[in-house]
Amino acid sequence: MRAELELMASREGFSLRCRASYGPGVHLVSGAIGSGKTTMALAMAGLVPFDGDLRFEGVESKVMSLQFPEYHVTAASVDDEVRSWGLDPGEVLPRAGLIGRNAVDPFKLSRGQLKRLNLACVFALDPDLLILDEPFSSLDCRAKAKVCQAIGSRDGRITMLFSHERAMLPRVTTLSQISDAELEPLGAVPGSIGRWAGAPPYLRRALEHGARPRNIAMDDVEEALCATRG
Amino acid sequence: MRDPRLRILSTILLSAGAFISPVGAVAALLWWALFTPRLKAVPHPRMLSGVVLMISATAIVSELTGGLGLLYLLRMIPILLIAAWAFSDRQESELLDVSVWMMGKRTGFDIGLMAEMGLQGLRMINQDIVQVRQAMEIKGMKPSVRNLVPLAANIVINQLRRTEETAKLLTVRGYSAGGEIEPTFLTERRDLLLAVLASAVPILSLLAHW
Amino acid sequence: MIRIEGLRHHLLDVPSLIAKEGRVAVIGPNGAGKTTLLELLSGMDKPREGTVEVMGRRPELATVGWVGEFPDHTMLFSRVFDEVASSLRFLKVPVDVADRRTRATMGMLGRPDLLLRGTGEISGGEKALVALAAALAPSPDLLVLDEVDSHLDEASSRLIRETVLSSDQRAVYCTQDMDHAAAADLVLYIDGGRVMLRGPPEEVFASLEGTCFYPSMWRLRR
Repeated sequence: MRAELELMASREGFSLRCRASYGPGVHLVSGAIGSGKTTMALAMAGLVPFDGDLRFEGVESKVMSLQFPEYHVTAASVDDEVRSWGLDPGEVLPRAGLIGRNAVDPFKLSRGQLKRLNLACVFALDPDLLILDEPFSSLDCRAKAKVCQAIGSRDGRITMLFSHERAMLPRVTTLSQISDAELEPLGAVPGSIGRWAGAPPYLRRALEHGARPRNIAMDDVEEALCATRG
Repeated sequence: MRDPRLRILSTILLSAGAFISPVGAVAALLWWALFTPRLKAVPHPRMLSGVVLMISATAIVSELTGGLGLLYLLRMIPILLIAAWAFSDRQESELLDVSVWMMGKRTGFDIGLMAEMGLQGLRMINQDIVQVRQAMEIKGMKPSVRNLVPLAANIVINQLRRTEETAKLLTVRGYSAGGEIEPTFLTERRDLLLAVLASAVPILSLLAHW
Repeated sequence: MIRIEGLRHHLLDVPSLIAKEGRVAVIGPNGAGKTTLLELLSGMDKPREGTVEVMGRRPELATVGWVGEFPDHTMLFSRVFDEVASSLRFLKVPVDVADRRTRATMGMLGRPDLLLRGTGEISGGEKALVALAAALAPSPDLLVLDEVDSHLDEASSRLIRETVLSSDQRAVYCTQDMDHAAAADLVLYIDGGRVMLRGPPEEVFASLEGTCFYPSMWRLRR
């Protein structure tokens, strides 16, 4: 299972050059606001035009979750919204923490609740390629932890994670960063961690103290720091 | 034209001239051809040609049924082109400046503020449409008449929410009525000259009409 | 700086709260009532029951600078200059004073170049900066930030944070970034409409140690 990009994606007068190959696993793409993360996500989802090649191998299904959950709403009740994704509300609502809200108008939910609903739906679909654009935004740390768990449970599938989250990060397979309108795939962790310009403050501090974490999640960093202290 | 007041004045003069007589229409067209970036200035060529087609169809039908359709068409085309130029030549915050200049720091400011906020709202709605369509494609919902309802509902609700947020922001920023502002305009000699020439068009038109 | 007494408003139930000078961070799970509290403090809403006072006055009588979660969605004007000057103009401050303060505010934030731009063409981080400038321009009694850093990258978030912390501006900010909360003088942990914990960061976070509401940089110390 693989997604290979060799393309130039454009959106609103901005162009991004992407050259990368992503296999099964979790791939974090970081970059400043406006650097092109969303453009790349949309290109991979086939929602914006691009010049070049986007090749898939063994990818039968792909789904993208947009940063703002309001845009996804097409039904008048939470139940119907879940069904619009082709899913069973009985399975999805518990995962979203919205039990009992079946008949509620999705627009009456808070943004955080809507985001949880949306994410629960895309994770339940479990597509071969899942593209998450800022999945942690609008969530509190408890909900973020659940998202990290959900990401971690996707075995043998490709998960693209576009985010500038700085505290609650899942374990990842590879790191990539975008700057100067170009995607720079840094490769697999742990080797790529040292070259990651987008490393969150806690990771940077740990690296400064000589820690060599196996992955980027807080647990790994704490473990690595303990190891340096003997 | 940098001075929006002269631009608005020119637009009115040229449109009036074009409508009064065919001579005026030709003069207005000439003004447009000589003094504007012409077709480069047309913001949405497709939209404009759509309007032109509609008006042409009306004109042809009118002509065929004994009306003066073609003359009407001759007069509408310069008016549309001038309007397209005026629209595309806009600078930011012009509405506010002109509004305050014309109607003062209370009414003028309020109207200008509403116009500005309206424009911002339109900008957001444009973005919304793009994103909702992307979301629908993700769900495999093809563009169709049936899917127009959730699209529209989404846009309207988002806009209403934003209106609420904006109202709160106005409150907290201390808005009550009006605002203390001195609009400044950049009046270039060229603009004045073009406006004077534009004023010749309705005069010519009236003379030709009589 | 802030005095709350017998407050009952929607979900909020705050019998008593006093915050002296400085910076107050408001943290807690979503839906806890944080935004509601911030809206009451800024005078956007009036409490159903109880008193809320900012600098000894009702909030709507104080000058409050507000920056919301999505400054992108609430730009009023198409020129950055007009946006930053908006509060001064609404308050009928004389034009030359208003213009000077507008330039000074953007200068203090290090981006006077933004004043010449349009609000539609700048980046998300720049929009947040413009919104902050607009809030600071009238030299407000209290600056209120509602999860401004939640949707910003690290660089933009840091700039906002440094601006808020470096000046002696009184501020209340709601954040999901516990490291940012740890830099405040007073931290309020709100859950279910109640202020469950209040105190200096060391105290509050000591009680939150096993939870995810804990500064990432402090985890490294243990």
